[in-house]
Formats: sequence, structure tokens, C-alpha cells
Amino acid sequence: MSCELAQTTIHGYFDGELDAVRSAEFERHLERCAECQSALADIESLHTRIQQSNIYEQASPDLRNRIRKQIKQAAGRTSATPESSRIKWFLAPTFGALAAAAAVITIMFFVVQPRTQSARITAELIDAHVRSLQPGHLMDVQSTDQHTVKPWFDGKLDFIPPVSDYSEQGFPLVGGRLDVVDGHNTAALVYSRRKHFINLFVWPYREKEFNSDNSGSRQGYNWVSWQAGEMRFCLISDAAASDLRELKDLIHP
Amino acid sequence: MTEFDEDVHQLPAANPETLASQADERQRLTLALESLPPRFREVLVLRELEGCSYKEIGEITGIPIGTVMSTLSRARERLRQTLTVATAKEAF
Repeated sequence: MSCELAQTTIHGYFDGELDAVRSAEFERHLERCAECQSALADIESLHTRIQQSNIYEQASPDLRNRIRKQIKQAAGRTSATPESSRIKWFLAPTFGALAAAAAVITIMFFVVQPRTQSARITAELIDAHVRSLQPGHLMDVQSTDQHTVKPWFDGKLDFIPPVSDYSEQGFPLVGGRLDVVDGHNTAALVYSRRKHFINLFVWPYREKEFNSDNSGSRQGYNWVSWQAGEMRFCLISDAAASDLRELKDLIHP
Repeated sequence: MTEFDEDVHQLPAANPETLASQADERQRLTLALESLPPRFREVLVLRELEGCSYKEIGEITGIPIGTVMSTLSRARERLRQTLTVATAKEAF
């Protein structure tokens, strides 16, 4: 590769790690650099391939806590370097608290998920998610209480979004706001997962061509989208795709 | 709002050929990840599967945050090459 940005900055861009100025600069560069466009497609393709392979399953919050506790205890008993070249590769990241769940990597079941969602709407949703992360844009109503967030939408939308808190399952409700998707008012509920924010967009949708479940990733953001009755739901976050699937299963088991 | 209708929105059933092909893909990816140097494997697992930020990856692995991006870049490239080679070998 001859373009230096295609080897480094592009990864920060894809992973959402660039600040707004650098990100905008890179996007301008991207428009005229075929090499970076190709490299970005490769990164995205690899990311999607890993996500869709389902080679990994995250631990439940309870198991995570227990593993963390054991790691702390073990760390207290010995000053030895925790990492060993003989340790199974998937155990290596467990020595950081956030990676504790990697100890339970297992081959898991897999699900075929058709990818028929309108790219335009997905792009709009991702843009809305990114916009929401800008300072002061995340929430119109900030509350962990579903009985505060749900009534807040009264009179602001012509439908009532289902609002539940999943703190006990590791997805605390943080708040909500109004957003616009495809030209229509949309409810956006905000959940957190460790240090990541997850937007749940809910809006009425009736066109049959989008009546399918699907998921994917773009620019480092994962999404899981589904329909329930006449409502369309879409979770978007830079959290792991498995986290989004877990939250989706909580919302619609 | 309308209740979720499981009959309408049930997951598509996978046929045996699809299942076999997905199992192959999982094995291919697992072997490719296992063949990577531990440092590369670590950053890939943390970023791609755990969804960690660069700051979190730096804290966990001890890699300076300034070099997380370049390490990830090399790791992705190595994984991509490994998968390409694996696919080419299977073609023979």
C-alpha cells in the first residue's frame, strides 16, 4: 500500500476512534483515495465476517462478576506475570477486567440472518446514532426509571414505544429522546453496556419488504434490526454484536 | 401497539448445507485466529468480539494507546492474509 492513511488512520476511522475533526478530514481524503476506499471495504468485510461467524459468546453479567472476583483473588495471591505462552489463546485477554468474559469463548449456535434492510435507512440510523453521541445530543429525558421515560413520549409521538429497564441483565436504561428516521418521528431509547451507549430506535413501519430481521456493521458500528407487529426496532452501538443480540432477546424473547 | 407475532417473525430454518458451510467458516476463522501471534490475537478479540475501545485495549494489554491503532492495523492485515491463504488452499 502506498497511502499511509490506509494503514493506520483508516482503522481509527472505522472503529469510531477519531475525533470529529480528524474524522471529517479523513472522510474528505476517502472521497478521492481509491486505495482507502478499497481498504475500508476490506476492513468492513473482515469485521462482518467475524461478527457473523458467531465464534464467540460473551459471559452473562453474573459470570463476568464471578470471574473478575476470581482474577482479583488470584492476583492477590501471586505477583507472577499472568500471561503465559502456554495459556490458550482465548484466555489471554481475561487479565483485564473488561475482557473477563473472554474466558468463556465457546462455539455457539448460529442463525442465518437475511440482509435485506434498506441501506439508506440503516445509514440514516447510524448517522443518528453518531449524532446522538455528540455532547448534549444523547438524551432529551435522562432517567433510569422506565416509568419516567415512557410517559415523557406521551403527546410527542403518535405511537407508544415499549420502554423497559434491563439493569439486572447488564443493560441499564439511561434515558430517551426524539429522533427522525426516514422523515418520521422516532423514539430513541438509550441503554448503556459497560462504557458503551446503545440506541434503540423504535418507529412504526408497515412496508413488507423490510419485514425481516437482520444485522450487520458499518464504520465500526453494529446494528440489529427487527420488526414486531407494526413496529420496527433497531439497536445500534459500537458495543459487541453479541451484546446487541442479547439486548434484542431481552426486548423480544 | 401490536403484539409481536412469533408465527410471522420466526427465524428462517437453516438447511444442512448452510449449517455445514457455517461450521466450516467458524473453523476457518478459529484456526486463523489461533495461528496469529498472541498480541495480534488479543487486540482482535478485544476490538472485534468484545467491542473494547482503544483506551480499554490499551489498559488491558498494556499497549500504549498511541500504538493500539497500528497494532490493530497489522493484526487485521495478518488475519486477512491468513484467511486468504486458507481459502486458496481449500480451493486445491
